[in-house]
Amino acid sequence: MASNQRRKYLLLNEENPLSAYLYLLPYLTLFVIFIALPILESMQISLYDWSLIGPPPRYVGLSNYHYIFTEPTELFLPSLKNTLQYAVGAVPLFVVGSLFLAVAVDAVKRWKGFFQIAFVMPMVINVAAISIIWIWIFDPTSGLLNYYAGLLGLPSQNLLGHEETAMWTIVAVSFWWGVGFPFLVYLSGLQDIPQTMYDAARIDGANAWHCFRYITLPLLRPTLLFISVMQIIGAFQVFGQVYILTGGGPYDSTRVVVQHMYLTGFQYFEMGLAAAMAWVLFSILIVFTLIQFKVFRFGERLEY
Amino acid sequence: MRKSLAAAAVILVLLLALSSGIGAAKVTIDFWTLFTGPDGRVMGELVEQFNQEHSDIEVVMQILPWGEPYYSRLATSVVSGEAPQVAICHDYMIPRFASTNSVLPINESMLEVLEMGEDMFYEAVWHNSGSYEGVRYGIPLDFHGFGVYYNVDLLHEAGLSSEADALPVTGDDFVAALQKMTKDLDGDGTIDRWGIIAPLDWFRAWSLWAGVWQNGEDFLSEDRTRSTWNTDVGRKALQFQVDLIHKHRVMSPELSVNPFLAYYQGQAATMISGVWEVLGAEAAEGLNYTVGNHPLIGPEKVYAIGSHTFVLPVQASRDAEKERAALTFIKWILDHNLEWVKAGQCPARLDVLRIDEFRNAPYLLPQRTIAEQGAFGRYLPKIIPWSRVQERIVSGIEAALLGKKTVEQTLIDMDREIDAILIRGR
Repeated sequence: MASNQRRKYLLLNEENPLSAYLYLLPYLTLFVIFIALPILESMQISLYDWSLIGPPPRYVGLSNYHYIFTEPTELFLPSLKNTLQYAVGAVPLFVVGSLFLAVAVDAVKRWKGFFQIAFVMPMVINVAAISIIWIWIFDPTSGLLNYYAGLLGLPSQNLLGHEETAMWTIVAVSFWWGVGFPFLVYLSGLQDIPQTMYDAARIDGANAWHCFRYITLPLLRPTLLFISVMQIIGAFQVFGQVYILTGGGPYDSTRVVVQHMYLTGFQYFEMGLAAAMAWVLFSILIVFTLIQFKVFRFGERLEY
Repeated sequence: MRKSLAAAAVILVLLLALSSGIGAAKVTIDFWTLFTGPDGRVMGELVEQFNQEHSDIEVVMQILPWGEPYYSRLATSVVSGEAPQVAICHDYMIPRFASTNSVLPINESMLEVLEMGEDMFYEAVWHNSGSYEGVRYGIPLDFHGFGVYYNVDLLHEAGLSSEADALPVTGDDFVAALQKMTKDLDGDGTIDRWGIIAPLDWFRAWSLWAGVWQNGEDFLSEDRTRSTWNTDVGRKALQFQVDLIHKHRVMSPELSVNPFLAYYQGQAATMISGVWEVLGAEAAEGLNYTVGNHPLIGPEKVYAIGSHTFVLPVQASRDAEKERAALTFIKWILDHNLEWVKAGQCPARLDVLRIDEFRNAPYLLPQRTIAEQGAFGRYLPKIIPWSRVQERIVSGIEAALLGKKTVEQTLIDMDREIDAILIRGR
């Protein structure tokens, strides 16, 4: 009886909502120590002039924020603009492109497993490795792409070497690398939609487009919200592949905001400026996320 | 049963006593390097040999990624009191670490431990590297400069000699040679073999300031508070690089982050790279290469050089024994300077220049050629935000070469950006 009583406290049910927090406790503890507190501390750092090594931090109020927005030679705003360019290319491509792939793979009758693995595979490769492979493929003089272009009689290309194409090329490589995750999430979302709905719709005379538009899409709404929030956040945090593929070049035209933050903090030893940039980026992401929750009417239940 | 247990316990206690005795006598020191290429293997072998020869010191070497990641790790290790006892530091990073008291000054008594005096070193290297505001913080391990790697077969094909004294010396000679080697092999009207492959981005920057120095000027004001790129000399130096692409059409106009392969595969007859490239050139299959000095585009014989130095990062608490072990290790590595030179560097030690192997071995040709730069070498300005200044120069050159900005506009912008960095001072 006593042990039954005790077990009751550990049960996760509607009578006992507290137990959920108990299960979360180990994670929450680590989250607070290693994520929440450092984030708060970075807020404090953003108000100080601090170079990591050397003299102790000096309180400067909001002047770090002022500097990153007003200093004409500061690259924060240009990198924010470059990041926006990346997001404009990458977010729709990831949200729509991987949905398209998931719907297509879900519909194929044979080779399904092969396609699933093929699209997910690049995701498990390390970002440095994929970037180095693509650098070699895109190399203007000795790269694979130009070798094939030459065989077809096409002029050689230097996609990563020019402002006009560099960022879009990074978007394409990122999609190739990162499509696996949204693809998998969509696929599992699709499999949650009961087949009976499609059968019923077919009987009512719906075609494939109708099924997609009026069944698949509405029922995927939570998944779409999740994917688009994740993709926007991911796009604003893009760093690794850009840093290796172009290093931010040519002439800073692909320098992205996280790269600029990293360089400001750890190469220029301006931790205060870097922390201020991090908070500006954080605010932008919060705004975007709230807008998305509104657009996708999060929390509303959809039932057929 | 009980007896054997007791015996085992006695043996265990003895073993523990013995091992702790060994442990107490052996000093372990950490050594951080940024040698991620084949040079890291050479340094690793040297460390291993040192450990075998020294029963009382154990050096643990760690290779960290080259460039910014390395120096930010080094800085954070000092802040958290976890710094290695010895680290490699480029000469141009010394001001950053010295000005923040992150590395120990090397005093006379330390040099005595090292049994080292300036007479042991290549004079220009000892005097011009490792110091900041008159105080020594780094002990030079080597020095490096840039040269031209020529494809010997392509030189001969163009009717040019590959003899050391026949290679181009001035910028004009260099351009003339490149013109002879630039070819449209299949006759389709586009060039498919370049005289020179566009160098890696920061190599171009080294050539640029060397060009300014070769014309007798500098790109920073004497008091290091102002950038002075936009002068006749600055324009001449940048114009030289732009002309290689747009006027003479001897350099590949497409910039790549990995230009070496094109040279190794014979798609370009030359490349500009550092002395460290020797291991790559040796490994390139079927490549018959030679190395000439970097062309001079002005009347003065000046070369841009740099050094790796040993520094002693500041510890949470000073440990005389570890410091001594660190100095012993540095001394030993310097006594094996020729071995390190084989990894693609020029010697910091004077006596190495006179060793027969250094003077004659064919595989040391690049080191021998570039070592001549030592006497005419000039180090980077000793300012704290150097790497940030260099980044602006690299970016500016890129914009000029790609035709995004005129030469003059590039230099005006460069001055503006560098001035802002110098004012900020960090």
